[in-house]
Amino acid sequence: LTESEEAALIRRSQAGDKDAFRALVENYKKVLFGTAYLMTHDRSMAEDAVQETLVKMWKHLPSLRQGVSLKAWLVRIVVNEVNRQRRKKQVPTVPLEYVPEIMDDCDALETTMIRNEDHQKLRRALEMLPSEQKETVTLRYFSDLTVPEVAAVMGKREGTVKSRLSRALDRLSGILRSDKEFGGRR
Amino acid sequence: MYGERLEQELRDYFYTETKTSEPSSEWWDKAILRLPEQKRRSGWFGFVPKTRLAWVLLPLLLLVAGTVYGASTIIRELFQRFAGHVEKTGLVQELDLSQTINGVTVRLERAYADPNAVLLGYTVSGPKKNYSSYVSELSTADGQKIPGMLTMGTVPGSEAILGEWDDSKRLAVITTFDSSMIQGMSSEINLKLEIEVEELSMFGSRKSLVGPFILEFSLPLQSGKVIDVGQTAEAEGIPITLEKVVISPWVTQAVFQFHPPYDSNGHPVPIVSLELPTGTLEKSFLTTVSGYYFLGDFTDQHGDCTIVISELVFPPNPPPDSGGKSFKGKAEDTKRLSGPWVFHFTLP
Repeated sequence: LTESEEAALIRRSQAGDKDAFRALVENYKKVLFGTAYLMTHDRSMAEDAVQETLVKMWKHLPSLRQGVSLKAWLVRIVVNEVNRQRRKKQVPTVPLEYVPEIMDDCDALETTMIRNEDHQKLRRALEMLPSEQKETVTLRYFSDLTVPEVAAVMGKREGTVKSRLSRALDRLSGILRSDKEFGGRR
Repeated sequence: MYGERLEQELRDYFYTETKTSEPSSEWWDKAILRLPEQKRRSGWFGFVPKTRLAWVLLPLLLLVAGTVYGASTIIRELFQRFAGHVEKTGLVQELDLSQTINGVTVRLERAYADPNAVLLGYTVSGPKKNYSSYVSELSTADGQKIPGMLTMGTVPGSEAILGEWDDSKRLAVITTFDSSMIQGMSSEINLKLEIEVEELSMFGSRKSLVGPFILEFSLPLQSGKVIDVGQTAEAEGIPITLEKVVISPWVTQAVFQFHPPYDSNGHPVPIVSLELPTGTLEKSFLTTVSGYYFLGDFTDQHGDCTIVISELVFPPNPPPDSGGKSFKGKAEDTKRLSGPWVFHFTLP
């Protein structure tokens, strides 16, 4: 979507046009669900958070100001929703041995296996980060928000976000460097 | 470079991790079908302070009112007027916690916390037209009670000032608490809010009490600076000590220690101003027993500051037989003592 196309869809959605709203959601559904899923590692909880996010998006879209990044606004809603659900449900910690089903049909089997292995190491390394660092890394590298947008979503200053990112990357590097096999097979 | 490669690995990992779990197109279709129709906004309600202090502040709030965004939620509107600068920087948290008792719903929508204050915005809705709410208590998870400071709310008539909002939210309130009293704060505080709601009769007399509504939640605590000043200034033979200044995104608080007894029996109300390193002069907008608050985020200011008490105002004392009832007194009985009491300190 171009900026003007998105602006047009926002205006139509603000007027109650559900088809326009559907088109907007289509554009952001990966980032919405993905952010919720990466924060919870629980599909059902992520779906609940996204459903609530859509309700809030629909309800509050009329109050969205011009010039505000829709993506950052939506990510902020979904992050708040996940946190609200966590408070309600007392989410159990994800165990380190949790292994996701990762298969990429487009890759050759060997590449897939190597990537799978690297990703498992990365997952374990991420799990070792404090939750606020993990969330910052997710918002920056998955949700693809800018540092000011991450700061707005998390309610922190840009400097705090930068230092969290820096500390998180340093720590991940340290953990992964200690694992000689990481990336060494490519 | 390892850093860039790590960033790419993270992007790949996140992409793969989420790709296999995405809901189907049917799920998205159903999610959108479940959305309610957007409500028409209507109603005619007034914006009336709920405390005597708030009445004093009302003209100030009206002055800063500016453009009314008719489509915004009422709580958002109140935050914009009362804490617009922290609202603008995205520091206000969306909570949307609610509890319903006997058909009455209290919804805690938005909140904010820093080392000076906790701000809570909630609505009360239900089958009746008139509600009044009382915050019974705000406490931390370890049982510390947080004193209330100021409450602003809506009642019939305020739509003229605040614009239209959701008809169901007949009562909307922002209430503030003194978080500087909390011991052992960390980057997040866990809080418990207890509210009681009164259903009012047509003529506003109390009818019945619903609740308590109990909402538990946690808030990130925005960072601030505490400057221990410990400086005593004297004028007209009267010493006043500026103990500390607490600078946080919502307000800056000056904490004074007075040294009674004074010739007059009453507790003085100082007229206080703060001169920032930029030369801007701020006047206090809120006063509690010991704290004097300046509205605005001065956390990024560095350099020399001056706080000046230009005069002390001694309100008239209530007569001995007033029995603790409300007493206004006459203006001519108010005593004033000119200073100035001047305090200098540096913002690191």
